Amino acid sequence: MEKNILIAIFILFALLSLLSDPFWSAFFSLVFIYIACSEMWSFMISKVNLLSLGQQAFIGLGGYTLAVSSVYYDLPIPFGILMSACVAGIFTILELPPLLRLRGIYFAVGSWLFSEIIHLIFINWEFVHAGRGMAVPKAYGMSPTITYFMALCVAIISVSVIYFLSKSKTGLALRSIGENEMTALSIGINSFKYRGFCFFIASLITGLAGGVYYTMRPYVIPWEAFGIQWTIGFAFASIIGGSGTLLGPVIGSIIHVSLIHALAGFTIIAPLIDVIVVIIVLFVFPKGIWGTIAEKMRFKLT
Amino acid sequence: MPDPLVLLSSILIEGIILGGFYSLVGLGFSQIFGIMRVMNLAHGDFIILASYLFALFAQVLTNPFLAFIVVAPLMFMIGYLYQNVLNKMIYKDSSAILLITICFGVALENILLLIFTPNPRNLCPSYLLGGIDLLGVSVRKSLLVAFSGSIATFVLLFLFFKRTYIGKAIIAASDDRLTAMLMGINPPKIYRYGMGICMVIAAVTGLMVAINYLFDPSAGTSYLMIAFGTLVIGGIGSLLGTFLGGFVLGISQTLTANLIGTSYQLVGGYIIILIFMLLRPQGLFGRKE
Amino acid sequence: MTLLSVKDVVASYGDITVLKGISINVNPGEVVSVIGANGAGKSTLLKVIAGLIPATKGSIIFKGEDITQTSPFERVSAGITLVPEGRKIFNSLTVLENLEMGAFNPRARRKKNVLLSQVFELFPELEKMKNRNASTLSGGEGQMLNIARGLMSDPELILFDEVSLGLAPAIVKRIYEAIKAINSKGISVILVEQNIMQSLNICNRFYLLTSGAIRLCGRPSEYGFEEIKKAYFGGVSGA
Repeated sequence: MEKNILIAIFILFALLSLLSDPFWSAFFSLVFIYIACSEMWSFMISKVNLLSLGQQAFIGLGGYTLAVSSVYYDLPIPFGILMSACVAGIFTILELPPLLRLRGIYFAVGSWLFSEIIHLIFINWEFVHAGRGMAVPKAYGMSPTITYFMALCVAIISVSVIYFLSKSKTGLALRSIGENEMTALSIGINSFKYRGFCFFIASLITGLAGGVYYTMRPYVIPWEAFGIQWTIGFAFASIIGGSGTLLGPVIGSIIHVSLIHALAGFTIIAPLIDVIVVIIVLFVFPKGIWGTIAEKMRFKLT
Repeated sequence: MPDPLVLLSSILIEGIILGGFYSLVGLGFSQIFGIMRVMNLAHGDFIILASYLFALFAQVLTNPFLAFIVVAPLMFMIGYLYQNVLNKMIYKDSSAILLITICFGVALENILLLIFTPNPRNLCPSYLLGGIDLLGVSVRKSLLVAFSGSIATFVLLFLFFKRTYIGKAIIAASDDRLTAMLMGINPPKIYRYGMGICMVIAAVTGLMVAINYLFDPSAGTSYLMIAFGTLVIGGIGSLLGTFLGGFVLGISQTLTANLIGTSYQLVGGYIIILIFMLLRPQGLFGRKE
Repeated sequence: MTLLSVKDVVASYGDITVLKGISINVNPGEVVSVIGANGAGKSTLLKVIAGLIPATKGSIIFKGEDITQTSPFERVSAGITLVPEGRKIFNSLTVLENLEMGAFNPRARRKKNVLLSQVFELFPELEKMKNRNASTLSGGEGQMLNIARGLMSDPELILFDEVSLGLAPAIVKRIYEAIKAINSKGISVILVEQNIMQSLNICNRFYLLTSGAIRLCGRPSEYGFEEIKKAYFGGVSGA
């Protein structure tokens, strides 16, 4: 049932591109990027209990990879975007062995620490123009429709990966780890490997999304690219919409990006509004908007 | 090539004095975690808020130290009210409450940005400029003040927990919330007082930050990382642990600064934190959970 | 006047209903035993009376006032104290500090020193150890501290949850002597135990719980041991 709603929504999104109004094009592109990343954030926390506060590392890495590939190697944008995913993935492979040994809140802040370390390195590294940031020249002339579709693709990939993963044997293993890790371990499931796998996939997609974002906004600034606001946004979208569901982060992302736009002139109180919204929503919908609705109507969720 | 012994003593002494200050940075943060098991991820930003409050009142009262009389109770009230909000979410989703503390932190940063502009500030009074010679190493006077302030705060807090009824009630509530309720202790009220106290600690920290460093609205994050570090290294629920944790961080930072370069000095601290998280997650003196 | 009146109380853990409409009474100065097999709901009943678990239906009346919606610490102030099962002492505090915590509620705090000397009279061992850290106490000593701490709150009704669980027989004897002494001072007692003999010997009346409902109740002298045993293990009953 949920699957059908999702397919309908994505078809709707695809058709919306025909509107070709630049504002809405940019609006929805951002929504898709948030959908892609918050689906992954939600996937990690709900299926394998990984609370990541370091997703921004991958957005930043993705953006910088795109910039570097464009400036230094003169590569076309799509190629650069693919490289974004690769770089994010490589970094994750390096970061995972120590990070995975951590639990709960330690994992969360650990992932944030890793992100901050990268942030510091990029601020001081001349190769990426240090604190001045880097431009993505190849993205300047790009048509918004292409960006729209790239973002939509990443969102669809993200949701599909989660969907098919859940249905597979791997998904079963993940569910048992999520339910009771001790038991899962005792029947031979290598929870280490599976949790790492989830984090890895999430990083790839987030890196991809980062690359796409910086085609929309073709100037990469370190404190923006590596800012915790990204992960806050993904967490916000997941929690409000309903983490652990497929449709939840979609709804949450739409709400979050709408709030970003609505409060654009009021960046100061925006986080306060965020806090108020989270508190109110969680009071009325303890499992997120879609999460609570689905539970009440007893929909079968993935 | 400087004499290695001189270099070592310089690293150690600078590290210890800096470390004493870092212990203070971590104190408010680790106490709240020990009491309520909630990481106030906005702690760094509250420290900076305090710094700005000092900047504000120091203008009127000329002396930043005198401003403490106003800022401390103000921060206590802020903590009390803040905990009111947190109390509503504390029994629900644990990742939601982290999100809320982060949002508060970002909100604080933005409010400060709006009111005070991003220009960095410093409040060091002229009589605290310059350094003192300590065993052959030049140490900033203002940092020594921070060091002493830190020790004083630790001692006061220790006495508070050991000697006062409410201090012991806070320890009881953090040991076992349900049983504490059976004693007639009201955990949400305890948490409010606890947060108030931690905000007063943040006020002291903010004063020390303002005197020693250039601060701007976004400076909170690095102080949060240091605070987190003292918690990890020192262990949960141990005053002594937080105290020593600060020193470990201080020394690793001066080590990195001297051997690799000052722009990477924070990284040295972060790596030590990661090492501790991996090899000794309960910290030096952590309570068994 | 009845001291405590629990009427048709229903309570659940998540989706599982543990208490299915329980009614019990306690009169002033009584020792009431609640017995039953594991999982019958005895502990839950005490926790509901103490306020740790909410009653989804029914009411709890204490000294004529409806306390069903009040919080645990309000009930302590009113005069109901639960001595919880297991080693629930505060390990970060000393024995003396644990006792002081017991007297946290305002009413008890005023008489703290009086209560302390009463408690030390009952448990002189605790006075000798008063500055030791609570984590160093043995099982029996910890349980004595648990009980003593409960007394420090100056209760009118004290609830004991499996107070002899896992303790050596000599200590259990000591604890039951203490319970008798406590009751002789006028404090009413509800005693939850798996040990039927001990608890029936000490009580004025008893209730037998099976699967969340009351199977049997009355004075121990009214029933033969066989009848109680049969009801305990779920035999056919007319109740």
